[in-house]
Amino acid sequence: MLEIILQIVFNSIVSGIILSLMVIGFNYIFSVTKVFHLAHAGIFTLGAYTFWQLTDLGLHWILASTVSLSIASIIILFIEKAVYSPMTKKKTDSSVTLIASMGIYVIIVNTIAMFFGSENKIVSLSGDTFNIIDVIISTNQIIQLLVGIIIIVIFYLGIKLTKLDLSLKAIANNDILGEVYGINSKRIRSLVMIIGSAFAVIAGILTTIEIGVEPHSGMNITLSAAAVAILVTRLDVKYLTLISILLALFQNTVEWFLNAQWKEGLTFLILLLIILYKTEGLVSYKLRKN
Amino acid sequence: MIETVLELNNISTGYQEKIILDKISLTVKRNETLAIIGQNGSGKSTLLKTIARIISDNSGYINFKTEKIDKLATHKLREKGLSYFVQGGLVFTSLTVKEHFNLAFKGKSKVKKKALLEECYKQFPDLEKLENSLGGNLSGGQRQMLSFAMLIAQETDVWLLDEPTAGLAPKMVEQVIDFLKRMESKKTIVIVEHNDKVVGEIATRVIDLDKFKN
Repeated sequence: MLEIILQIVFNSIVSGIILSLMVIGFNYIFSVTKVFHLAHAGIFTLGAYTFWQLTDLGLHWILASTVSLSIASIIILFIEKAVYSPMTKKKTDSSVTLIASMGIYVIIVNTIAMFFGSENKIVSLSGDTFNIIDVIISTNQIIQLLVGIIIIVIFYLGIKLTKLDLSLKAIANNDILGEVYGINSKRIRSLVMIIGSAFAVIAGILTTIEIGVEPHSGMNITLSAAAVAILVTRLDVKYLTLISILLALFQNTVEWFLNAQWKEGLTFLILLLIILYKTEGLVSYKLRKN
Repeated sequence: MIETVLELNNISTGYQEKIILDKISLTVKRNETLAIIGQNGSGKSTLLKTIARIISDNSGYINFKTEKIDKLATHKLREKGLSYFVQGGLVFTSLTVKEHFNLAFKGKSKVKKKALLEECYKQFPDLEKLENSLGGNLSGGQRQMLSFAMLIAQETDVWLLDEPTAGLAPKMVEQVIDFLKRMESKKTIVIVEHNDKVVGEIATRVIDLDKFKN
């Protein structure tokens, strides 16, 4: 039994780190732009498929990753400038923006399925596995874990050292006031779109090297990311990562002891119960009630 | 001759299709305190929002010092020397007082930051104890004090103030009047205000938008 628990814990840390990448990207985009960016799922798939196609053509995985990130950046900037930004300027209702984002997701995923088919795509960088205290660990999982942690740490330190975190928090709180303080809110929006999407692409690539992706893989992980975004309303990388790992642990436990099909259903049942009890989410700014 | 720092020429502005102010022209001289008064809906706040470029699709032109600012975005105005005190204050609910200072001090040298912080704490000593408090947890008076401290911290010479005494207790209103009187000789102020006492005590010139429009 102990080895099962240890295996679940290890797998959850790995999948939790990948989920963290999606969560950080989704949460920062949502907080700064106020767009419930479901097309994040499409960017995840787009990144994964571009990486798979390029490595299939013989490109080195580093080059393939760089090209995938560049393509996703261009596409997300187009989406921001052509769809989200004009909608925000016209003060479009958030439900309309949500539908637009859903539409973008459908266009991306259907285009990918049309050109590449719907079967699972895997780019296994290594087939090696080894045992540590009865826990089976694959080299691909180690890559996932290390790359994920390094990206999160670089982002965390990067925004702290450049004081970008302050501008992000300010614009997320009140964009007009942020402008009054001298922050270029349009540039911050574009930047957060690019960084958030880069996180989705990296999550997509890391998923491709272990379990693989199919066109609709992005939606389940994005819905889990959205659940964490509702539970953690603070822009805080530490809490976002912690709650992502705990959610992955919960989902993997459900999958192991019940059934994989229960995973998402129970996730959202728990989410509903928490939100009914704590409307502000699990981790929020403690503001006094007026 | 006293320098003109702000000039509005034939400004027509409003929200989308609705014109609130039509062909307004006015000038503001250095170190004067101009109070804009008028009934609700007369366009006082709209006027400040247009100068601050929150509303940007106006006709006519706005000169700030020697530069046309019609094409500038709001975030550019601070570096030109113009601060806008938004109705409700300059407080982010999810940022601490310390973070507000860090944001306002962005791009300034360590020496400058230290001097400005000392000046802010000299003007508003209570803020020092509130360093780690979130903006959203400050009382109305504390929020207003922090907002004025932010104006000092931004180190601009022209202030647009949109109802800075709204919702404040009489004692706090007195403190705001005292503060603005202390600043009068150093700053050019355009203030939108409903409180006659504030206008009477600090304004060197008053424009009634109701009369102005007719």
